[in-house]
Amino acid sequence: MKWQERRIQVDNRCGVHGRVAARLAELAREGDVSLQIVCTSGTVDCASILEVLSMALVRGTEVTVRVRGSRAEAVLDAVQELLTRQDDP
Amino acid sequence: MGRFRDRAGGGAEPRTLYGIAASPGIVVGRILVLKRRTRRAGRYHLPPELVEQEVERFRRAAARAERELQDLRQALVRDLADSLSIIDSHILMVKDRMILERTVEIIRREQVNAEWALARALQRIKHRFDRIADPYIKDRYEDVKYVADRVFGLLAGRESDPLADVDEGVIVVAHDFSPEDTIRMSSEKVLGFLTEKGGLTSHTAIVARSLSIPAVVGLEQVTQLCATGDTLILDGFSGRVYLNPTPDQVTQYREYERQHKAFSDEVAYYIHLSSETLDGMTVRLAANIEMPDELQAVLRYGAEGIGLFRSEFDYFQREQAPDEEMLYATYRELVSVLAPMPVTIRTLDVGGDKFVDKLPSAMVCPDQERNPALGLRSIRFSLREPSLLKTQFRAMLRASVHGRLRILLPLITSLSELQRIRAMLARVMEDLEQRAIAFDRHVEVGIMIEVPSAVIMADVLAGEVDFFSIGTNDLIQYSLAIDRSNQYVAHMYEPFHPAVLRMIRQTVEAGHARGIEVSICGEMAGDMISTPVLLGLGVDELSMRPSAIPYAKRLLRRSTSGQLAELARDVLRCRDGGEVRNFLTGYLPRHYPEEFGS
Repeated sequence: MKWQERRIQVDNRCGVHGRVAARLAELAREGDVSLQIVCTSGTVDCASILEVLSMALVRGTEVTVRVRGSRAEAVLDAVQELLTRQDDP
Repeated sequence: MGRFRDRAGGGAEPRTLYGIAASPGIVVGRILVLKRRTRRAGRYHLPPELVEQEVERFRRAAARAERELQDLRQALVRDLADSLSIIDSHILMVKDRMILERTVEIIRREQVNAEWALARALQRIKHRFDRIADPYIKDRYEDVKYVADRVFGLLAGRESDPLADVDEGVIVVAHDFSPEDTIRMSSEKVLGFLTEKGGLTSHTAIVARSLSIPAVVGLEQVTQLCATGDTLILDGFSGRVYLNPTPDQVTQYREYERQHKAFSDEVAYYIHLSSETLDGMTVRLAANIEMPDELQAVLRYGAEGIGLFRSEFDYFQREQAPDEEMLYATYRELVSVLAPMPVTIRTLDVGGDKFVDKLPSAMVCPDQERNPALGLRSIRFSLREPSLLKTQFRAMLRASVHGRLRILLPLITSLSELQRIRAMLARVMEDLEQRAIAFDRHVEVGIMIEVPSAVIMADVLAGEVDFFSIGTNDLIQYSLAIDRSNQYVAHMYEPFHPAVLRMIRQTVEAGHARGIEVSICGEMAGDMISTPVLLGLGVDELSMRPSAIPYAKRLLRRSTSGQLAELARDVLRCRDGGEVRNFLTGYLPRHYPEEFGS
């Protein structure tokens, strides 16, 4: 199955911190998809909250989000919504 | 007695320690010290046939840690939504592959014990987090440590509940509590909390208040000063902690504890009476609070206003400085609930060091200050970061139309400093006017009198402001050169030092000569022993923790203005703090037998 990709600029006020990263991990673990984030420092699997955190995605960082799986499009939308929401959940 | 080692027979020195009063109430009890587990992560080589067994041991510990976290999550009280999301991320961490898979991999590859492997895995995570510049994300490593500590503990075979074999109520002492710890401790076995880290807005403080468990925080080194089984008095009203108290102190405090309970009914009667002396001299009794949640208490105890709203809470609850709307919402709530009674809001009063990671601009990066009490703190910090102060001013001004709001500026040391801030305030007003936003043009502006230079120049400063508020805690620290948290000099911290009393009188006289109100909002204002003296010195308002108000009112209503003035005159004749205390020991039981009689 092919990866679907989308460029997203992180726009959370505090960057991808605990809660956003936790939500990403939940999306990645919700089954049937692989979810990765690619940025200049490398590629991480979103299922690992620690890998996501350690990329230090601060506000303004450009990333490529890659999803593979049956619900790829919906997951991409959810990730975009998550990474561009200014008030943190 | 379970795990307590017997320390009867004394030998342990009685000591008084000063921390931050984080949650009200007084308790006397034995302590249980929870030491941060020192990890014995020695490296042990395993014979090949035991490797899989070790992997299994680690997996069981990790799974159990996850189960514990899930259980906690289930047990969570509704109001603690913030902790909930923290626990959620902890659950994800404990099953993260950087911890789980990596540790298993190391056990197998190097044929080592689980503790060693986990420590190695952690180290690698730490390296990655060390490289992160963003302080908030970097701090998440603390969470990783909490999670790993839980697994280390389980590997070491700890019982999952440190309170399990405690058969009496204890005061729990620790370096710091994780959110989970604090919630888990919400059992009847916990009489109180005492921590080395933390401030009023720390997690321990917030959870303790919501559980109505007395707490004192920010007492450095305390886990080294005491041991499980020691007796301790914890006074969550004043932040005072008596370690290995003398039998007299225990008796006295048990009596306070009893009185506190017994008086509450009797004192409730005073809540609706006016605060005036027998001969009709009125003094406003107001409340010190730090968050709107406390409004209920303010009203319940019959406060006649808020004499000090510490505005820091909004700044430390979030990762970033609050915006104008957020502050406005807080201030409007306070002002409109209390109207027409006054609400005094102090501008941000913190050390710059505590704030650096919250600044959008990161303009201020103070180096490790050698002497923070004399450094970039309070109003000086606000002047360094004017955008923060302007935002706060705008929010205050907009809220000022909803009732009576008073702006209080902390740590003022000179006229020019005050003038700079007033000019800034005037510009904010102009700006609001241009944008046709409503505010009270005549909003009262006052200053804290908390450094000796402000006392000495009080006559000059009084011409520039609408009220004074004496902050006794800092005034005592700065005039006696005593850092109360320093165990070697803390005993010299003396509110009744005649220098302090004279400065209070001088400030009152300077204020009254210019026709402005003088208030006291330090800890002294809520201390029953000092209340009559402060009343005698002529202050117009005493501001204290809400629950102390009925007591102060009862004292006031049993006094006459002449008798109070005479008391102040007598006390001012004393030559040192000891003489003042001796005098009061005779005086108070004579004049207020119900409050101070034996």
